[in-house]
Amino acid sequence: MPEMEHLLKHLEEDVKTQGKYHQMLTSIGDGIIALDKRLRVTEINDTALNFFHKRKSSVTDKPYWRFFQVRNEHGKKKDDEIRHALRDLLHKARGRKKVDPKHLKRVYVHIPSEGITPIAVSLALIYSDTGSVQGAVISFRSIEEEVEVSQMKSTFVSLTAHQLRAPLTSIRWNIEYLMGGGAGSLTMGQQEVMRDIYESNARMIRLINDLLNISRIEEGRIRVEPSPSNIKVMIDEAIKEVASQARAMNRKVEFTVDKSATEAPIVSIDKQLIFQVLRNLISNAVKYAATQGGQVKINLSKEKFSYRVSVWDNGIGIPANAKKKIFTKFFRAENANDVDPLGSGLGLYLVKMIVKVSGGSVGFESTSEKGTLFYFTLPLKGSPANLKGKRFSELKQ
Amino acid sequence: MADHKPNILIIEDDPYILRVYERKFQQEGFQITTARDGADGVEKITAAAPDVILLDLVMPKKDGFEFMRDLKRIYPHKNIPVVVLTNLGQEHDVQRAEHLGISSYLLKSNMSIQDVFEKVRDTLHTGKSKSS
Repeated sequence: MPEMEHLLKHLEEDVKTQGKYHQMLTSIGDGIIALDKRLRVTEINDTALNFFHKRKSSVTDKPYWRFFQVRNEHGKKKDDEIRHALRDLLHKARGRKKVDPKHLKRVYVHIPSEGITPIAVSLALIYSDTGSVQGAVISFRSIEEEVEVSQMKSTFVSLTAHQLRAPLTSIRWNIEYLMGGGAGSLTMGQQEVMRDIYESNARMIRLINDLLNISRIEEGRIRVEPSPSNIKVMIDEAIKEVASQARAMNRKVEFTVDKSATEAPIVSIDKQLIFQVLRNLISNAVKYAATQGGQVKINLSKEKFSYRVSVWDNGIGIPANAKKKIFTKFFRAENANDVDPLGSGLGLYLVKMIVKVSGGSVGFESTSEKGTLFYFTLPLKGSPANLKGKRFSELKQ
Repeated sequence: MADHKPNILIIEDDPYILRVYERKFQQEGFQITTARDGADGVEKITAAAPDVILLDLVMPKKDGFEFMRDLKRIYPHKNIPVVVLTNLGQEHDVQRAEHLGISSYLLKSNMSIQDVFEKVRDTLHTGKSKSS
């Protein structure tokens, strides 16, 4: 009976395949939980069971959130972002659409007798052969070590920077004292040397402040204290600050306000933070504008939900291969390096991070050798406050 | 301000920072007493009879906060103005120090030595300390 033989062989292969899948599921290092459409557990591997200290029988056919409890990093209950994301995936897949998996980079879960652990989670839908959605699968792994390493790194940076400040301050104050004639008058040559030392010292302090500010922003520890501020007045002030630099470099700086924003453009923002954004963008534009006939144009306009500030220059532009990385920490485009070899590559990163914590967005358009336009927005409803963090550090000019 | 040279008590554990303060305030005509930490500061306060105190916060033995508490205990009725100069910039540090009755709270890394002197001089002119 060849038909029967064929069927038996098929069955045997099926069992083998299933066994193989089962083995894979069991031995994989990530926790895997398969769910039906109502998010009840249909399959779970040993890694997941061990992670949550559960037995298979106690979790099967039960909603996953009975043991998979999402918390915030302090262990407090919060919205279950995994459940949200799963429901979202299932919702999007109605009508048999293929939906891409979703990745959650960091979620905190509560493990009985262990406490709060950070995990990375991937969520995907399970489809049948015919393409209908059968359920979903959660795969996850602990990222406790990664989080610890990243915290150590950031503590190291902030401690080192902090320790460096005291000696740098004492150097600066001593130079000021000498330059002010405190230890007798200096010759022209000595004055010149002193000014160079002073400048280098100021650069180091700025760099350290940038590093400290960045590590604070990255960890959500920067103080954001919004208060009603006139953005036009702030732009005027920022321009004033770069005026001498612009004059020395022979750059023409223009500021225009769109009709949309002529009526007192007041928005609730952290003045010090946004001023830093303006300062960085405008001084960059002055620095990188064309050497002959250099121009910088700043514009303020009001859109439906935000104010928009743009800073344009007719300078070196951002080369195509640098565009992707322009907001990356420590990145410097080659042509920018030629103009100013002393840049730290932190300015634009800081701009991006500050605008982000201020609830706005940032972007640019640029053509190499023609010029660059940077812009950022600030929401009309104002920036969200964070009154717990540390103040932004800056060296007064 | 009194006619005599103003007395300043400077409490700072970093010897280099301390020397810059000394030089500057000497140049500006102050009578100076220095202390290496809060405990040393408390010991010297009677002899120094300061018109103004310049105080660091992070120090060994006795920090600036503890010094402020002792100052209030030893001289409950004498409002000596205290200018705090530190690199601690966290909001709760500022509030904690203000709660203890300091006059000004300055961040070292943001100031020039001239700024520091002017702040101390202004504090002396207004002659007041916030009493808590």
